[in-house]
Amino acid sequence: MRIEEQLRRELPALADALLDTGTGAVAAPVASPGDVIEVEFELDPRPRTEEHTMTKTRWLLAGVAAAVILVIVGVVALNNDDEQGLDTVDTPEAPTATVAPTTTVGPATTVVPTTTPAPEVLEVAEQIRAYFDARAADLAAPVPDPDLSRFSGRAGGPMQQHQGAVQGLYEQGRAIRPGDQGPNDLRVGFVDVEGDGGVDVEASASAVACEVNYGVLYEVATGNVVNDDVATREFEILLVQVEGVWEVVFIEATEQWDGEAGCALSPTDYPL
Amino acid sequence: MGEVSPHQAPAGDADASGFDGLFARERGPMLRLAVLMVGSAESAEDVVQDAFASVSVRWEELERPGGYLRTTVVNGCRMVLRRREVEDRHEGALSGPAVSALPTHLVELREALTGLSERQRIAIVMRYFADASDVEIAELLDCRQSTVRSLIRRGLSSMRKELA
Repeated sequence: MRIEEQLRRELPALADALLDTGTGAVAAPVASPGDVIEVEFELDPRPRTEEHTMTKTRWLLAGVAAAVILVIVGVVALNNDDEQGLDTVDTPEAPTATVAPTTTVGPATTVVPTTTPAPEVLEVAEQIRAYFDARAADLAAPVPDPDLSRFSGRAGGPMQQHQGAVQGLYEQGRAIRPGDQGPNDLRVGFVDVEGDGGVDVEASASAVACEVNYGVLYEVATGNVVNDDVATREFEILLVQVEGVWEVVFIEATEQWDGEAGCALSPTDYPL
Repeated sequence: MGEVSPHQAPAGDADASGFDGLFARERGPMLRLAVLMVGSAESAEDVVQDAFASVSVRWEELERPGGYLRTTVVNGCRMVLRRREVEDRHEGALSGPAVSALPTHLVELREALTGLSERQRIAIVMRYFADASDVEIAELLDCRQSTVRSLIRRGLSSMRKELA
């Protein structure tokens, strides 16, 4: 039986069983297992929680804000002698990845990487790698590139925030070098490409990526290691394609684990 | 919070379209939805009671109280899951009631659900229990529809492994 069918069949039974074996306080009229709950969501006014601060129509703006928070958290972490920073690491060399050639993506193409990923999926994955490489290279460089030339065409909103992180490291006299296992291990998972990205945008894409960060935060002058803890993070990433160039417009670490854990233990979910 | 009574609803709502009707009609389905998300009848009861209390207070201003109720229930479940995650991290304890009375296949299903992240669990329950669309789940989770599809896909993948 397919998992989807199993869920549709067994979730109602599980709900009833949990209620029956719970506190025994459930005396309300409970629908039969076959019933389908009417789904009708009223969103305004809606109850607000600390996570309900974004709306769909403002995702770009909110994305930039989230990127600011991400970078600020990263800088704070890098300032902390006891904790690992959020940012990636890389070799001192500038990355050689180039922007993928222009591709016009058809409308609403959802592509799940299985055996042969579609070209646009590979483009997006390549661009995500380029983004992480460029970001890590800036953080690793003893003398940061103030123009962030590595980022050109690779990161829309996040670029400006990243510049602050680079500057912060530089002012502290710190940098991040690769660990014994390299700078990081980045795997890209689910990629969803949509043709209609809105005004002046040819296409948009969202993806998830899993990064194991082996970077070592150290004092440039003395070489003293500040933090070499390995951390794993899962990222949600949004990109838009403008004039044939994919740009990262939003990136957020959605989950984090100490060591090589979490998403790193499910490589089949991140095949790219 | 104290017990919510249908009589707290504004006067004149005793018919099927009023608060009493909503309470009688939706309490059971909401409990079932909540218990799948939080995994315990006790927590589900609290969430649903709080949600009905919130509806009761805002009854006059709500155009679609049913929708508001469901959104409030899901948000309440998220709060419970978040609190529980923090508690588990500090105490190393597993939450939820004893499940020895459940049939084996349901125990496995419950464990597979518990193994999902908060957002994956909500997306899976909303899709396969409540038949919610990508749009509805995206609004609930405040994310893009593509993210919903990603959450469901990864959630299914994880559950498939657990239940194999």
